[in-house]
Amino acid sequence: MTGRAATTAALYAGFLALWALGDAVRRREPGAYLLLGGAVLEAALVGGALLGAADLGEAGQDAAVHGGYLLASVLLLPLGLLLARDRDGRLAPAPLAVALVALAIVVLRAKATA
Amino acid sequence: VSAGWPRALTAAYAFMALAAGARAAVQIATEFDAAPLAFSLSALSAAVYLLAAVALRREGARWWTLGTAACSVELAGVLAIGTWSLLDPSLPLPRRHGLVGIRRRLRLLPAGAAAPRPAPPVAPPRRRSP
Repeated sequence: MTGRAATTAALYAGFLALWALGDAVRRREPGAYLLLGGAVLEAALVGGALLGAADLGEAGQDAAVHGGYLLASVLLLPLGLLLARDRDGRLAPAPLAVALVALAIVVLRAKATA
Repeated sequence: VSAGWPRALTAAYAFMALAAGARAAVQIATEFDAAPLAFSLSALSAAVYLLAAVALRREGARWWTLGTAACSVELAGVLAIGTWSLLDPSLPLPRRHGLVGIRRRLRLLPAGAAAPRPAPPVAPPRRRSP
């Protein structure tokens, strides 16, 4: 993911992180709309990573680094969901907020190395 | 409902382990000869982050001790090596190493001053005509 699409994705991830943080402060389980927003973001990131992987040869010396960031951008949200899941199956919002902040940073780094 | 703050800390360490580990793996595979010590320390930090993440996720006094030790080693390592890199500007660090960012953020070195620069050429003194 490059250019404005990456900036938009990073801002959207930041918005979702703030939403999850608000849920964490109010001790509420993440709502269906937040999860739907996360699913939309993940779908966009997978699409961006596939497009970015096709152009990986043009990234020059940073191809490996850029590929790493693309892979991390796809893996971070599922990993965050895994860490957010409680023993009784409930989701905790604070780990999701951390994952979304990390995701925003990774997307911006991927943009910088494209 | 649990907000999951302790798990947020675990998540933060897990992400740092992933980031530092992936970065160290790429740099060791592609440019290890440029700074073997710096890249080895990056790999070591990734291992410490991973240990801290696992220890924070587990329960029990032994895991708590291990997690505290990992976090303490991480803090001491960042402070010690960061200070070393500040005191010894000739320390060869590649342009994209994490310590360069620490130096830059502390504003003790100008941006891009990671590697020692060659001295600028000195112009010969002008001779006055008699």
